[in-house]
Amino acid sequence: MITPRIPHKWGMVVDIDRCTGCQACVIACQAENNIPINTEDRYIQRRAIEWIRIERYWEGVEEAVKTGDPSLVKARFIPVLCQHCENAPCEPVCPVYATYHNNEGMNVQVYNRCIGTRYCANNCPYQVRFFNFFQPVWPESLYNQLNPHVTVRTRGIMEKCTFCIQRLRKVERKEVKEQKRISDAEFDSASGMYGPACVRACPTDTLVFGDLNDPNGRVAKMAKDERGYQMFDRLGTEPNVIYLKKVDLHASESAHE
Amino acid sequence: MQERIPVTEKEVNEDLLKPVFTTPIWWWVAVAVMATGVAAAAGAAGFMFVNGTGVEGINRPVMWEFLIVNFVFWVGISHAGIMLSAILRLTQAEWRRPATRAAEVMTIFSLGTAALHPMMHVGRAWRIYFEFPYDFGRGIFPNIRSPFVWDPSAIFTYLTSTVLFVYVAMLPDLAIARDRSTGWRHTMYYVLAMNWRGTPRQWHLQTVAGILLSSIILPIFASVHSIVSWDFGMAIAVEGWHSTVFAPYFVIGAVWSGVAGVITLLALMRWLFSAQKYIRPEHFDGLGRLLSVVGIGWFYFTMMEICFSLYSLEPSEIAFRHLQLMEWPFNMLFVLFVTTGFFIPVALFMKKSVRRNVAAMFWISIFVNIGMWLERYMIIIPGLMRKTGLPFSWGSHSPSPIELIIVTGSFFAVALGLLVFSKFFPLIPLSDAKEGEVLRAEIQVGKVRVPAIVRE
Amino acid sequence: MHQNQRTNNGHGGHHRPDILTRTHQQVTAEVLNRTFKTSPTFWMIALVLALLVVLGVVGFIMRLGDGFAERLPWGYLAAGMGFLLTTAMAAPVVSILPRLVKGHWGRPISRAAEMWSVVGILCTLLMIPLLFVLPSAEGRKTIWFMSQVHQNWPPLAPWGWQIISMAGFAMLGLALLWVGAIPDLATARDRAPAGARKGWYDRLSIGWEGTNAQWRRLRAWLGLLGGLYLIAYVGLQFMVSSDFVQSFVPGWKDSVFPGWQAVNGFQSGLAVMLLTAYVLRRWGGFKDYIFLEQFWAMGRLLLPLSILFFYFWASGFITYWYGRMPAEHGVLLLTQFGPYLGIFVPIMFLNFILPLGLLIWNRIRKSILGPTLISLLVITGTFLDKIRLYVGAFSVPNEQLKNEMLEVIPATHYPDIADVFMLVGVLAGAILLYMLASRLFPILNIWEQKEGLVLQTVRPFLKTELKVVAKPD
Repeated sequence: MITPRIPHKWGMVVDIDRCTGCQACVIACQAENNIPINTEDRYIQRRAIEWIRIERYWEGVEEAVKTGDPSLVKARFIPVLCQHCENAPCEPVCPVYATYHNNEGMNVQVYNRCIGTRYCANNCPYQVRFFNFFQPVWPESLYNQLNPHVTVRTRGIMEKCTFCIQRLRKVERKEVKEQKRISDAEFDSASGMYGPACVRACPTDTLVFGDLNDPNGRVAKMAKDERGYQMFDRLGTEPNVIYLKKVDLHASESAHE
Repeated sequence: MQERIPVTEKEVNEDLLKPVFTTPIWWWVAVAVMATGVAAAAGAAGFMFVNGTGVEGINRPVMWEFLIVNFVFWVGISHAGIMLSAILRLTQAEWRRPATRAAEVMTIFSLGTAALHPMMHVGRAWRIYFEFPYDFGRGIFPNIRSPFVWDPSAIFTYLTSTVLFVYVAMLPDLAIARDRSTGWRHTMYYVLAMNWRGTPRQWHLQTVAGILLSSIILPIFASVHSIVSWDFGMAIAVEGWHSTVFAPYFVIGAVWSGVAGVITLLALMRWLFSAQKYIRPEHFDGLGRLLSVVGIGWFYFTMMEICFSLYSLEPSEIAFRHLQLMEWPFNMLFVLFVTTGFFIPVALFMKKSVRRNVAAMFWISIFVNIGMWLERYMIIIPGLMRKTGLPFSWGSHSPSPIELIIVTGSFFAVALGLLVFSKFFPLIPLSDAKEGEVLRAEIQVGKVRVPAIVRE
Repeated sequence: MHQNQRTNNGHGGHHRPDILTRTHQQVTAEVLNRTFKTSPTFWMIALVLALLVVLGVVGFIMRLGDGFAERLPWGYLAAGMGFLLTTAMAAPVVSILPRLVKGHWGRPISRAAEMWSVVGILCTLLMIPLLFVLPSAEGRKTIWFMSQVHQNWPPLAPWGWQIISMAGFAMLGLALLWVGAIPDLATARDRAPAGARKGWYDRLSIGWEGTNAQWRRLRAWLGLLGGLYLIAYVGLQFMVSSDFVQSFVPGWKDSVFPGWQAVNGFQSGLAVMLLTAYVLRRWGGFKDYIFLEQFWAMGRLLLPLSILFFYFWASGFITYWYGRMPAEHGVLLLTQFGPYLGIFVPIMFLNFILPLGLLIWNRIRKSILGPTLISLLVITGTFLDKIRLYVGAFSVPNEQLKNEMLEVIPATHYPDIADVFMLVGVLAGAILLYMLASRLFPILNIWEQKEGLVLQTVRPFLKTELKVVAKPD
């Protein structure tokens, strides 16, 4: 007899108000997912692979220059990772079905099928798809630290955030065994064991992961927050990553409109 | 049209088969140079396969660049063949006659060259067959929603039908070559000519086949560049790409650059093969008149595209257009593109004395194609550099030597193909030239004799 | 005299159903006779049309009661204007194009085609009330995007530029008609009996004597005006179809749409000319002037234009449908798959599927009745298309204009009695104007017809006799 699986719709909430731009998530992702080391020249060539990145913007520079008051300059951070769109623009353009939507609301990449047309990268509005321009290499001593649960990608294929699917598979196995939905706390950055690497590494609880199908779950509740929005919602991509707007106490009245 | 010299059928045979049966020194030199260029490009491509696609200048926002620009350019050039042969055959334009075969053959070689570009460009070129419904062992059909699956379908259909088209039109010429050759050449023409004897039935079938192929090939012709344009038009994430006008815009741009390519080729043929009797200023005149209309139409679409991207004044669109039109070096390239691609050619094509000047037409046609290459560049690269509203990931681009070698090599490849072809088959159709002679007439109007054409 | 004999000696003077067998004098006399004398039936038809125009005016006055605050009630009048712009105003292209490519088939119908430009007067009049419901360019998505950066730039946009271009275009059309008719007006001046008519011809033919210099100037002007008309037509379609249709629907940013409207115009203009040629041949008494050749040539053009109609539509559709952005989805829902689906499907049949399916057959394409009946389908399709686009766009309320996308899809707007009156009046007015113009201008181009006589002959060719046409530089 096949044991029924509990239907999930994985999602994430990113509370920008909490983000300090510490980049712990970036490092955690790097280590968990066998991402080659991004050396300086990789950044200069703009070929770095960061499944999650912290975008940093400076605000108020013009006013600061005008008034001579440097305290007006504010740093803004946005963690950007694959948005796992319900209506993903990258999916229909792949000629070989290397990327498709699975039944858990995730946009998944099949490395074996990918031939590297890079069309998906062009059609991704969030720029979260990465290409292996060369065969990835590590220093000899680091080969033993590669995560055995994650494929080491070859050159010429695309890769991107998987919501650490290797961990989610563990969750699902556990659920099938115990026949009950896993507790939301298991994904918690402080206490949980199964959350994606970035979520577990986040010191400020900016990233919250969970099942959007679980009405009592933390993610489902936070997604309904009045600060919540989806990035580029005018494109109609329906991301499963929901951002919560920054609360700026010093912003002028007009900025709230 | 006074420059027309009456020629007998015997003269036509001798003149037009001469480049096939004799091999001057310049031909060997040219082939050697072209072959070196192609070998260099093949070496560069091999280097890329061994080391990875990273040897190109691609980076994160700019995932496609020179090879794709060049791909679109060569697909564009390939549109002249059918434009001239099919449309002008159906509309019975007389000045098409000497240009048809050259244009069709150019279609074959440029389309073949174009098709190689995206294949080289993918990350794992040795897995390119995944795009075709071939490896059923994997149990996965290609994703027919992807424009990259429409692309090969359209291009290979076009390639097949163009080869067929050239072959059917060439049958009578092959028979003449068969009757005038010996040795292995005779055997080759004997097989290829399929027992053509010039009986009325054979002529009837050949004409019907020509007309049918013309009309069937036209939808394919339009579909190829439309689909190439949809590689870009379907992408919502890239500013300046998701424009509804792209399909007709690309097709008319292809005709514009392709027919200019035919002019370049015709001028070269006139000089290299001493075909002054067959390729006359009146043919350049006709092509020039056609091109001036096509050029204005193409410019209309260019304007529409720019106008409607500013239409809603979205910040991301503005950022892209600002880069494309205002920032160095794209502002310089844009000015160069508009001047060489539109203002110089169209202004000059308006003058009859220019249209009938072969040297002038040769240089103008090269100008057009510089402009059209830049046009594709201006659409693809700045668009990717300013992809979306996330300025953090905006990028830049500089080409690598590898891709420059491949791009240059593609020009050598097409030239090499044409040179080799001209050694085996006549580039000016013999039967068409003779038919033109038969249908030629003159009418006395007042004091002058006006050239005329017999019409059904 | 010598010329005429040469023209006819190829076939020994006997009647052929496919070639003009008249002498120069006969052409002049016959055509002018039909211009100077008017049958009672003609006046009867004109009277009925005039009554229908009055009905249209009544409808317009009824509509005035609704005021200009709301755009929706004016949708059908706008559709009427769009229809005239896309059909009658495009018909002169059928005269310009053969002249440009030295095609001989255009000679007998070139005047009839140019004469449709008189409808420009009606188009301009129709635009005036529509200007009152055209909202300011400020703050909404519009082709006058500069007005959002610099306040109200260019000045008077959109209203001033719309009416100036429309009126200018109408003038251009009339100029084309007049310049092309000057030699014929001079002939009419010489032949007309003394009276007011002769005086008018005298004034309009501005001293034409047919000198070499005059002919050269005439040809230069005709080429210039023809080229300008083509470009201006495409430009006007851009302005009118963008400002009166596209920019009323939030989120509609469709760069191929004006081009599609222009293609639809060329297609329908050709259809109008097919119909006109048929009427002239059947009831106008020009059976020996307009032959199968004309219908065949136009039928051959109608086929690719019908395919282009589909192609341009498909180019826009596939981009929106594939893009799947909410704004684009809203536009598709409004204009195609929502409230106007019921007329969108017939339009595709009338303008594309039926013309393609029928004209592809040699037997239908190379006939007189075939292309004529298909042109009726095309004109009907275009009429429905304008209703779909203009009424659909006009039904978006003002509050939604500044939105990013169409949030609520408006319901279908059906015409009321005033709308029907106005549409009938618009159509009748266009035909009435055309009929009145045909009393002044000879409806057959006498000089081009004679030129054709000089430049063609019939000669034996192999076993048959074929027409030989000269192609002077």
